[in-house]
Amino acid sequence: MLKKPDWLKVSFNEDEVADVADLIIDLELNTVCSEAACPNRGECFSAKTATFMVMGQYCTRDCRFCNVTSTKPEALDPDEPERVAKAAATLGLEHVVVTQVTRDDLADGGAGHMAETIEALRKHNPTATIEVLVSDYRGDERAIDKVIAAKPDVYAHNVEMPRALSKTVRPDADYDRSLAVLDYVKRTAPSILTKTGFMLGLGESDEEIGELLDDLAKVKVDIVTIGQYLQPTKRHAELKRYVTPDEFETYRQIALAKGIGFVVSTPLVRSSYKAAEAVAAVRQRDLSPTL
Amino acid sequence: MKQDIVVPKLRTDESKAVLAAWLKDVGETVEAGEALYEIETDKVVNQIEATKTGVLEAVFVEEGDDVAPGQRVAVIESSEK
Amino acid sequence: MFTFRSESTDPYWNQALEEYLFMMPVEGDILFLWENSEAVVYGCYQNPFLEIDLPLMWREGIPVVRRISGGGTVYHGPGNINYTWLTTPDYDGVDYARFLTPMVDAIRSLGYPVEVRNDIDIYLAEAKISGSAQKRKKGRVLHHGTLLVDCDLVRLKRSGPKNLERRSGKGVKSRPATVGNLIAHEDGRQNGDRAKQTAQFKKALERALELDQAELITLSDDDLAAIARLKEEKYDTWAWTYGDAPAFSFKHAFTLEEAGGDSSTVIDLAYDAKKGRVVDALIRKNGVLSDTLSQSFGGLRLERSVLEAWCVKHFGNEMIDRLL
Repeated sequence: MLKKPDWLKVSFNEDEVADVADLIIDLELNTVCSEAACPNRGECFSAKTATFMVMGQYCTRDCRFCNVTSTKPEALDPDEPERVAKAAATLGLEHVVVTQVTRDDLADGGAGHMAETIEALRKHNPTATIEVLVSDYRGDERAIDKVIAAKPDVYAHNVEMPRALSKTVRPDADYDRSLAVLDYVKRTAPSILTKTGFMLGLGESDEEIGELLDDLAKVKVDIVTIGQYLQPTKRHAELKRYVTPDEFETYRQIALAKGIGFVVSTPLVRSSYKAAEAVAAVRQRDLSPTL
Repeated sequence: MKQDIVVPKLRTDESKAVLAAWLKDVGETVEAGEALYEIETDKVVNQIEATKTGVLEAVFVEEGDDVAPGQRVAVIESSEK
Repeated sequence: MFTFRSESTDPYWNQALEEYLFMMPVEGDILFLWENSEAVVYGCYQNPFLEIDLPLMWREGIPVVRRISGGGTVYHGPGNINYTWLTTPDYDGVDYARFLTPMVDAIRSLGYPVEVRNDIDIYLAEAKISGSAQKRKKGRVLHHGTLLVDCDLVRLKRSGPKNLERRSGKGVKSRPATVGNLIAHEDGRQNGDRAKQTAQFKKALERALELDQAELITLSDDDLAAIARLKEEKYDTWAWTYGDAPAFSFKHAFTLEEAGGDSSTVIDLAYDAKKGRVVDALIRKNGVLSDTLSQSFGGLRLERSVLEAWCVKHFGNEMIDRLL
């Protein structure tokens, strides 16, 4: 059992987190922040960013790296989009991330509900940037179109790991399908920023990481996040290594060298870590004229 | 009370010395005994510690600059007398 | 007097071990001999981009190690013995004689008429067989040096920088010298007995230095874990090895062959770098400034995998020798 290195030990101000956490419980909402046991809660909440997880806390898939419970999902709550939007407004969030459990039981995978959530957020939070982190909707373009039509600022879908590992650790998903989703969004709605994230520590080789980055560069993903896999329980996929901060920076540099615009790569990164910063940085770069 | 940080005499003859690295930034607090800068002369890297606690107020040489014994390289605003 | 037996020839491990012993609260001196597998070890405040042929070292997987003492770049490998002497100085300033005199005496007692030159080096006739450097910190002095016993001098020379006209910058410069082996094969011809001769010499030198009577330091599991951490978080990182590097400028023009073979592009590469990263780059393609190339190169770490990725993306090959 690998010993957790010092750079992964994070402490945060419990009081700061408590306010936000209370509100979320009051409004009967789930945040993936607490569901997935994220160490960055303190930092994000104080930066006015939070991630809501909609469509329940139970997922129809059972990926070996994820801590979310996999069982029969809950019925959709038609009031949820409004509650999320109001909570975001109450919290004064400047960047809202909405993610979902995978809902293969629904015809559109929950895309319609996600679109409604985006619209409700826009209504109550006109100046906030909205990012959605969605499942692959089984590659169904009509479902993806629903989300695109609601015009989120960022469309995120995680590729999670290189192709070879995907087969064993992520058997319910499909690496190439994930790439195809990112490609489709970028071609269909070029003004929406695409984003994806993957983890290190599952046994990937440098060559596989290089290929993954090449694949992402090919589909013109705007933002990539790279983080450390933390094994949730003994039954989850085995943690193979702790990647050092220095090595994370090397991977970030390689990604930049391969032409990916914005990369966040540190041990504590989760998909929505520094999400607002990423959007701002990419937008500013697009606005400033090249000499 | 301002304390001048002066390059110590490191060799009996007048060897050239280089201020190799600042280990503290201007504005940072320095404790007595904490490493302040490193100086290289004749292949010896010498780590020089602060003798008084205070704030590093200003530095007058850059990393890589030649320095001579007795030369003032920085000033510490010391809380001690 | 204490001594230590390092069984490892891992250059990064040995560097961490040395630092750890340096700061160990010990009453008395520690003197020990150790060896590395092939590596290039450079002085704390040198500029590795000016002193070492980095693309060659990276290609061949030869570790590049930055030490904490001053001075120039040295080559470690089979046939080279390192010695480290740790003590609490009762003097201010710099003193090499107190370490070099006993070393010279010991080597002489084995039949090699060596002498100190330039205060710091040990020579056998006209060849330098040992260089040394020091670090002084928290009331303790670390003095260490190399001993070329029977080392491959050809490989030693090829680790040096090439194409010096392409680059210039700041950093402590190495002083070139004619080097030679104690067991003299002046051209560095591989002697089948190299390992044996080196081992024999090491043993004899330990006896001459009376280290066989010194107290042996043993390391606890905690010590070993701390050394491993020091290796992983300092010596074996890009940040320590290249991330403090002084500023330098690079300028080089080369021709890119297009895949078809008919046309070719002249690339004019000019950049400033500091702390191991490109600060500012101006890249021209056939005389015309290329924004794409210039901007994408700017800010990159000068690290093998990063440069290769950039090179593949923009030039379709991994020939990073032309970028560094």
